[in-house]
Amino acid sequence: MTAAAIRPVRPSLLRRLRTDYFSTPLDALVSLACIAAIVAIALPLLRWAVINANFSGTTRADCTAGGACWVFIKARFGQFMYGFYPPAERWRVDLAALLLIGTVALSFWRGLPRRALTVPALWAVLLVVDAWLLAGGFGLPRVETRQWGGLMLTVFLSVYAGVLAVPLGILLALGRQSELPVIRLVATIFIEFWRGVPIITVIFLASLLLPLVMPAGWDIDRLVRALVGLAFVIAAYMAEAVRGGLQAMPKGQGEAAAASGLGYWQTTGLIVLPQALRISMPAMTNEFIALVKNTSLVSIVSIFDLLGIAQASLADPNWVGMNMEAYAFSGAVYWLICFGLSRWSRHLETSRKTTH
Amino acid sequence: MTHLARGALGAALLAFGADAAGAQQLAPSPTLDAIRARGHVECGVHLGLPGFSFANDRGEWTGLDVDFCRAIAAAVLGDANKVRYTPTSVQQRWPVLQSGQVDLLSRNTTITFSRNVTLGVNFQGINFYEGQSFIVRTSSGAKKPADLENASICVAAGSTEERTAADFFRERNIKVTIINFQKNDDAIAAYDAGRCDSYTAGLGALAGQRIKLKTPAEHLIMTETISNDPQGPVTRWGDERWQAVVRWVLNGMIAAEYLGVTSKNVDDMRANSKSAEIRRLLGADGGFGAMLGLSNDWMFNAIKQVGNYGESYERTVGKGSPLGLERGQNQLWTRGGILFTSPFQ
Amino acid sequence: MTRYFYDKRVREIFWQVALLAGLAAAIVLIVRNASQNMLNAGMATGFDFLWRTSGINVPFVLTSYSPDSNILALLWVGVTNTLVITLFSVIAATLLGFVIGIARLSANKLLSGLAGAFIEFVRNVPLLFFVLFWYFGVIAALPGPRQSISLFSVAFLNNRGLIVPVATDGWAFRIAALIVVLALVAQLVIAVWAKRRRDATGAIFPVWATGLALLVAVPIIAFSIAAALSAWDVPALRGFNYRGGFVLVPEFVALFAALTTYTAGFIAEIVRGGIQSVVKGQWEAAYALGLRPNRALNLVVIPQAMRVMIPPLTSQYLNVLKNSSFGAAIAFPELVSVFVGSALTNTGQAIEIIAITLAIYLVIGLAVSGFMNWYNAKTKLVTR
Repeated sequence: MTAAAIRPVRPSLLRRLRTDYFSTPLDALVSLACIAAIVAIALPLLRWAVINANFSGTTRADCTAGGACWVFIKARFGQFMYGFYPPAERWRVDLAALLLIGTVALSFWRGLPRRALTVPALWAVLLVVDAWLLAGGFGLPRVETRQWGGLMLTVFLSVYAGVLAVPLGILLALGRQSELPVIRLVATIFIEFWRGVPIITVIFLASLLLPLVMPAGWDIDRLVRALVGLAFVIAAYMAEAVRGGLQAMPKGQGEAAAASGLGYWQTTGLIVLPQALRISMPAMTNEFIALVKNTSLVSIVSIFDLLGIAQASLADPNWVGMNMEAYAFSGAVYWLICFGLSRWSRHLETSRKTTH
Repeated sequence: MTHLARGALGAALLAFGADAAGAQQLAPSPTLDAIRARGHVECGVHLGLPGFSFANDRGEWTGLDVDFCRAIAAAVLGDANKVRYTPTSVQQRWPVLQSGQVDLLSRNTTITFSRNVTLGVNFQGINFYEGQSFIVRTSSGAKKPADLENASICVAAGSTEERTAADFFRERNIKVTIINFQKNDDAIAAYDAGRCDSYTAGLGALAGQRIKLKTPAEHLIMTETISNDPQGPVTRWGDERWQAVVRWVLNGMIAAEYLGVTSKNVDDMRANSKSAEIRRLLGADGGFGAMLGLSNDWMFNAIKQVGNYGESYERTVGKGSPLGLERGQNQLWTRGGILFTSPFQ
Repeated sequence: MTRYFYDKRVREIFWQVALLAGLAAAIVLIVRNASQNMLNAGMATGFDFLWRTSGINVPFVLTSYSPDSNILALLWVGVTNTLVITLFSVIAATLLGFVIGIARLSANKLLSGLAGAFIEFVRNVPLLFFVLFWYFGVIAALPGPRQSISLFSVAFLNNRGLIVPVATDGWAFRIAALIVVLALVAQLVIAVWAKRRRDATGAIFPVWATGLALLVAVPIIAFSIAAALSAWDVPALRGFNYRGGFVLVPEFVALFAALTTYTAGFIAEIVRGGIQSVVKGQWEAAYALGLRPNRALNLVVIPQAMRVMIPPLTSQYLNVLKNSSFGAAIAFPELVSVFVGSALTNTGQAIEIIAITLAIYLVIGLAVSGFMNWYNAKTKLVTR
């Protein structure tokens, strides 16, 4: 037998089109409607964003073609990325971002020795080093947090609130599963409180109320206040994600560890948590995506994150009427980040399922 | 009586050059100490109102209210650039001031009874006489507030304008729809997009906001006002010496214009002026700065680096600015306005 | 002494007492700081402000509120508007989410691809972005009042909203509403009875038919009669805008559209996951028993899928409640907007106002999750 004889007959394109999209009259109608919808949405968008768009120039007057004025994004690109961070110091932001990427990569590298210890340690070091790079001091010129902004601020808020929320969330989840009634009650109330209120009110709480309940003379940076508020909320959601992982664990695991003489913390830390965290990783990533999106709310208390700086840039008398461009650009950046993360979370889920 | 006597004693001692002795007489001022310790003034300003406080794309702040922050920094620290600005929304300004995150608010804020009495804040004079009015599309044909029957009006929630407008139309039985936005910028953007027939704010603020519209020429700012909104810098209750600093820097800038002292001639005036008041204002005589716990060239620095009130006005909101406002009520009382100051005696 | 510390029970009690003591200390410290700071700052305290005249004009009111009412009435306006926008968005998002979720599972790759693109788009962009996009999009797409789109010369659509006529006297409508509620109750009774009978005898009662009659035909007839009996306040263009009638403001439309499209993306994924969680054998078994496909879906697959879907649906519904606070960004007068926005700045009583707001969200949220938990427990698989 020749190779050609056993190769399956590949149906022609036309035939596949017919069986896949036009098998019944209803199917054909649905397909046609879908094509019409795609054309109706994509064509004007393409015309606006690419065909009639303006790419070159420096001022608003250069935008004559009628479509999008990407010149505006070009002129404001630095601000969208770094806010009002001094241009001479922006290398520090880039370096901090590189360190972040490196830490993420190392955390997921299986060859790292003693990962259970080194990964938390790496992140702890990263948080300190990046905070120093961004804020300055100890040899670097100080950059006030009010000069931070744009994508850099969005990433900063997400990473710091997210990383602070993980240990807090784990403790809360363990607390909620605890056999001690007081600890269980306190953890439950904490979780349900932060999950029950809108994030906008939490941000108002952190920005308007926190200063009033601090001892006189204590002044917490307003970015730190927003960060703490976000971290509390996200910790409550993370706690629920971790609890899902804990509940999915077969009870025998913990019982076997306890039977072999391990105490509560050893059982939890060495046996239960590592497995539970692996199970809850996709859910935790989803909570992190929600966090990234919700950082946009800080613009309501005039902290200029990516969406906030897009809105603020609209008030510039030299660039009036750039609403579509500003929103389209910032929306696309958010989308890229969140879509990437959600793909990754799905990858984690499928790889977990196949390894078991 | 004792107060007066102590003041007189202090002045007398200072006249003899007994600076140290004078300093011991000063009431403690935690705010001034804090400013010196951190090396800059913390000033709460508007989020972005061209002419009053506006940050350009390099984050540099300009405007009438910003100039006042700069004058305070020049008077206290000798350098007008030693200011950090905290942009605040309509709601945020009070907690930010009350909790001590800023030393003062210089944020076109109207002086009202309930703010003064229930929020624990003091107003330290008037740096802008504002009157609330309306901006409309020229095509609407409306010329005065009473023409706004059935109009929808965009306004910032929690501002004096929100309630003044509601009261005005309610008293006259004119039905309008008022739409309250969390930020001025949102309100003006919604007006520009056609959501509202009108946006209401003070005349000066309207002139500043008009620049942000797509086609400013198609909009008309009504000349008739429906309120008197005197605006000025605000401080917390307590720390009377700091309050006096803020009050007298403002008075000093207005007095400088009245006395003809400008940023250009201030060196010459300090050295050669025969006027006793100018000499006291600029610290050539009298030791007034030291009485406040500042250096005696406090107003000299402020005027040299920022200018007198008139210079600041013309540069930020007046003829030398895109807003192009007349002096109007904000002209000195000697020239037809109502801007007044107290003597440096 | 050390013997006690090694005793597990003693140690447990010790840690719990320590936690309680720490919390109590923190609360005392916060309360003391707050009262001290407010005393120093000369700020007003207490709840007296709730009875002060509000003086705030609200563009979308479903209660009897006017600017002469007190701040408590303003709070009530915020609460009703929050509940109304939440209710409408939840219903619409559920319907849209089911449609998109089922479309995602369609054999037609174009349809499932389009549904997939929609889901991936809305799930990965901040809600605030949608709210602003819809708001400025809606305003820009609609004409000004003088070029309004007239719907049969009684209702008008423009960038000030949808202006519909309103009955000047509501008695006929109140009776009609009562009839509709009675019809709803009747339908529920029939549904329960039909299910009991089906469980007992296997006979299937056409619940959908009575549903159509009682929930669609009866309201239409009742409201038509009520409409004919009522006097109408028909909107008319006067000066700037239409006068009279009821105005559905664009802020409502934009927030509704944003919450619906955004939440539908999440619900669609829940629906897809729920249906996929029902193993193929269930379909096959249903067919083997001779059930037709729609019966298999209704009687076998959906009940099992619902069990998987209810907990995540509950949290989506609670998210809609919480996300309705995004209305503050576009001046829709919901709870945060009127209370934390307008009332807080007018009274300056941040602590009282934020505490009330948080408490209201928690109470509504607890009520919703309580109801859904009850429903969940009822539909739960009883394992033996």
